[in-house]
Amino acid sequence: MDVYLHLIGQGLAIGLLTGILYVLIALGLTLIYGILHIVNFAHGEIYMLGAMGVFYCYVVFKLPFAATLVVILLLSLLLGLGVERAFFRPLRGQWLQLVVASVGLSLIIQSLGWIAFGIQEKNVPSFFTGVVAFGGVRLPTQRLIAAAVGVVLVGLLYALVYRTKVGLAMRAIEEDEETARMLGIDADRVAALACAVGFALAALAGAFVAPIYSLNPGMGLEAILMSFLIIIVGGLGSITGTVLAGLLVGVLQSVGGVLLGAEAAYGLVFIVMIVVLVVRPAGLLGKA
Amino acid sequence: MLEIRSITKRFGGLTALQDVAFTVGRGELVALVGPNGAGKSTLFNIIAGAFPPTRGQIVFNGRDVTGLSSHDLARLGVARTFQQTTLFGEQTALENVLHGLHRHVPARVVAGLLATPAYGKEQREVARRALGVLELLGIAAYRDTVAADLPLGIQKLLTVAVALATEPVLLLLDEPAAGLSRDEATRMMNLVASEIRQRCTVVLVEHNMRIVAGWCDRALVLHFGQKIYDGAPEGLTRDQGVVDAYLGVAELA
Repeated sequence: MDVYLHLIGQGLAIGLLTGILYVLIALGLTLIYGILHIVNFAHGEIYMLGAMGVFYCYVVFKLPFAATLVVILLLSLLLGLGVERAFFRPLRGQWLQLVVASVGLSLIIQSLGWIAFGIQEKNVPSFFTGVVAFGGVRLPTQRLIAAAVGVVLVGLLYALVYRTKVGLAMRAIEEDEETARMLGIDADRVAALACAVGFALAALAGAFVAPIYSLNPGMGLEAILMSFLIIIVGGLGSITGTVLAGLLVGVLQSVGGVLLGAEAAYGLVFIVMIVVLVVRPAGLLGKA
Repeated sequence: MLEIRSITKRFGGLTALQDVAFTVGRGELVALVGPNGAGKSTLFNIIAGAFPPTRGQIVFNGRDVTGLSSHDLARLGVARTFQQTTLFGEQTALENVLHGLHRHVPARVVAGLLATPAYGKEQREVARRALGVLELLGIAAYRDTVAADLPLGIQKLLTVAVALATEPVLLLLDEPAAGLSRDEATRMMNLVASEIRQRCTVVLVEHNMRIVAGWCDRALVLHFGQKIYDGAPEGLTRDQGVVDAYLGVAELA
């Protein structure tokens, strides 16, 4: 019995740490959806590029860890601005075309990834070594730091959306873009910023998982599937809902993995999520 | 300050406006009158930049603004309200007005994220300005109420507050008194004719003759897309064309 409790505690802690990284990816997706009304299928590839960025900057070019993060942050922001300008803005409002564009973008980035990075899986050594013990629960320092950064980033996103003028404009656009434009809000610029921030969150999440998983250009698929699940269960467009659902998925996957094995854990996650959606079709905090 | 030069607007084969021309002087309070389908809303939409005219020109403050987007016109100082109350329903009255202040507030994303004291001070200043607009319209008591929960009369005043917060030079009001009780309509029009017109030029769409005659300087009558009257409200009932086209119909209805 004690062993089980211990395992569950361990699974719970690891689940929360993993969940916060899911939250980062999903928040970018929900932000872009809320402002641009675009389901960005290429989001998983941005996460993949963040992880690959760590491999190349940190492992191949041997940049310091902080410099690696700055490079990834800047490149992902630029990529977000570029993609919004080149693909999303000209197609605003045409959702079918946007699906084609973002699915296409996802496949293009993956293909280029296979060409550029090769089929050999890449591994990144831990940025930080060591284990921290809380009671009987032992957690790798690496994961704790990743989660701490995740919490800080989520906090910054809340501050951006709820405390700044740009955030107020974002909420205005999310509710009624036409009226927002009429009040002099430059919806295109706000959308570009939302896209850049969304990309940066995904890329940074990728950077922090780099030492945890083996990297290949197709790794974005699992991330995007989980993120879709999270933003739908959280309630489309709801930031707090996304945070709750992300943590829930992380914990279910981890505790389920400890108790039932990793393969069965996926099933468990989806069963619980389907039940949530049957009971609350609009998601945890979504509006019906 | 606003000059409409021979505007024509066609939607497919339908001519919504035919060679409409008029001017509005600074500080005027002008009513746009006409039966449903006369082209009033189309005209409003064109002035506010929702879509361009088929032919003709709009000159605002000496500048040709024909074909500019609504967001550009908002920056030049044109604000409008809609007949249906257009508010951000999920947000509080104060937040709604803050959206109106958007273009007068600097962005300062970094300061906002760091929550610096200077930023906090600036935010309090902005909130105070927004509250000032609510006070001007006598609805400050509802500052923290979510817009969708407000009674219709207050919502209408709030849409005017949001438009006014943009500090417009020209304010276009689409039936500000529609759906209001007689008392509420009087209160609205008293505000429009005093506090609001001291701050900007006002053009409003109105059906109700009591309001046009009671508060407006001048009436413009549209009928099937053409201007048939431009003059003092008192002259409306003596003008045979207007009586035939509009008042007669209204009385029959």
